[in-house]
Amino acid sequence: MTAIKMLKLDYLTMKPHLRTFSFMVLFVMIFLSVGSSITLILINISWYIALVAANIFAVEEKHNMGRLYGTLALNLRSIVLGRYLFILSLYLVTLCSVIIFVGLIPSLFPLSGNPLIIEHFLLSTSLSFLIFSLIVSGQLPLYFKMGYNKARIMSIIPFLFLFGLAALINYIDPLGVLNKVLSNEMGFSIFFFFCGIVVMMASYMVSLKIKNKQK
Amino acid sequence: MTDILNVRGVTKSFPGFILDNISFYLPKGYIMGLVGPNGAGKTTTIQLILNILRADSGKIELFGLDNKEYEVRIKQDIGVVFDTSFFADGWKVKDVEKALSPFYDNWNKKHFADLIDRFELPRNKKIEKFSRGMQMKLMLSCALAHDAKLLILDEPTSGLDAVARDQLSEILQDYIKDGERSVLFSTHITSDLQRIADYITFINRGKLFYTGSLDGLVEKYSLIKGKPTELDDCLKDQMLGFRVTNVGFEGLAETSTITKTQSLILEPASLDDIILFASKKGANQ
Repeated sequence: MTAIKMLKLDYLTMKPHLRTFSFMVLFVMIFLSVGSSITLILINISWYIALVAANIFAVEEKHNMGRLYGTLALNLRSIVLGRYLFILSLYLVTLCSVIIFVGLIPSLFPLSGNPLIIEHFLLSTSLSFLIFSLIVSGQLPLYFKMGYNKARIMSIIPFLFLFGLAALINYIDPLGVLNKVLSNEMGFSIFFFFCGIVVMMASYMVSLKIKNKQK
Repeated sequence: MTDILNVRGVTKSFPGFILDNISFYLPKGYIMGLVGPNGAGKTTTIQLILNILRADSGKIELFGLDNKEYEVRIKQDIGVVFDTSFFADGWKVKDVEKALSPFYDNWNKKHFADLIDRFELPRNKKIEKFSRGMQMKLMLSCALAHDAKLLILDEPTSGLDAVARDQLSEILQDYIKDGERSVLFSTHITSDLQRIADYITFINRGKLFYTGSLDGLVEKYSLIKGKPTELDDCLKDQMLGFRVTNVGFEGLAETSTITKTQSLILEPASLDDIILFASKKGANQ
């Protein structure tokens, strides 16, 4: 329950920046949506949110808000969990906004003329979530360990890992992988969601261990 | 007498610094000054009390409860004021209340509003634009709005003018007058403490130098003044610290150990004198 309070505190902390953030998301959505498929939009949103969400660590560090957290009636577990929930909620809110925009106003965002197929949409969403989870799960323990300024450079490691993974798939057999995934869209959707959740949970455990050790 | 805070044999080591076996207690209804030179370990002690840092050994109890095991429950009854604001950019008074109030069961909206009015804090001004005095008063308002039983102040008066410091002293005296609350007040400005503190805990270079009543500390030590020719090795050994000028010397010693000679002048030592000379001794060791 205190993690939810922490999540609210993070939203209030970012409140002065949320207007800019919303504007940027809208801009990126419009930019990406022109002639793009929903898969591409959702994938791009995943890395973009992962990139932007780290700002909470920058604000925390700038105002030395760790001291504030230390005085409040909450424990370390709630601080770490609250931060994960904040970043996850930011992604989910953006994802929902994108879906509403893209789904409800097709005249504004022509989706390459293709009708929306639910299995395909779920696969795109789960893939977006998996990419988001992989990036965020790699970044957050770094931010918790080193703080925003020191971890800023290293936070590109998860991006490099994903580029490497994409390059590897491209090198091995891109069409084969694509066909395999498309042959069982629902199965892979569940698998991607599951992997994303597992990776996030593992990352949370690592971050909690790091924060405990810092004490 | 019930202790609000009880620190027993707490040790915490960092590379190049050890807070070594610190013990003190703060009874209900009193103000304790936590003093010492820069880098003595005052803030580390406060962080250990708040469980921001974890001690290598020792035990800390607040309201009779272990500070690690009952962290959330304990913090319901603690208010903390730091030297600088820890609020985010762009926040106003109402944002601070929105952010902090959910964490406290006893948050009193009306009391908070009254405090904001009493301290004449502007509600529509961003906190980043507040003066240091105003920021301190805002942190104090938050600490008092949830009916904290223990107020921990970490250098709250640094950078404040005499008027603001005087106001704070009055607020603190008013705060403890029902005998149920206590204040742990870490500061460099010992004149503030001399007026309001009942107890002093003096930490020097990570070690406990003194803990007990302020009167006890001031009575325990005296200032010795004399001519440079009177400063022999025996007297040097007796003194905790001293300084020599062309016209004479002055130093600090335990009143009970001083062998009085006719020409030596003995004066009551102020808290500042004790901290100054005791720190010098630490530096010489």
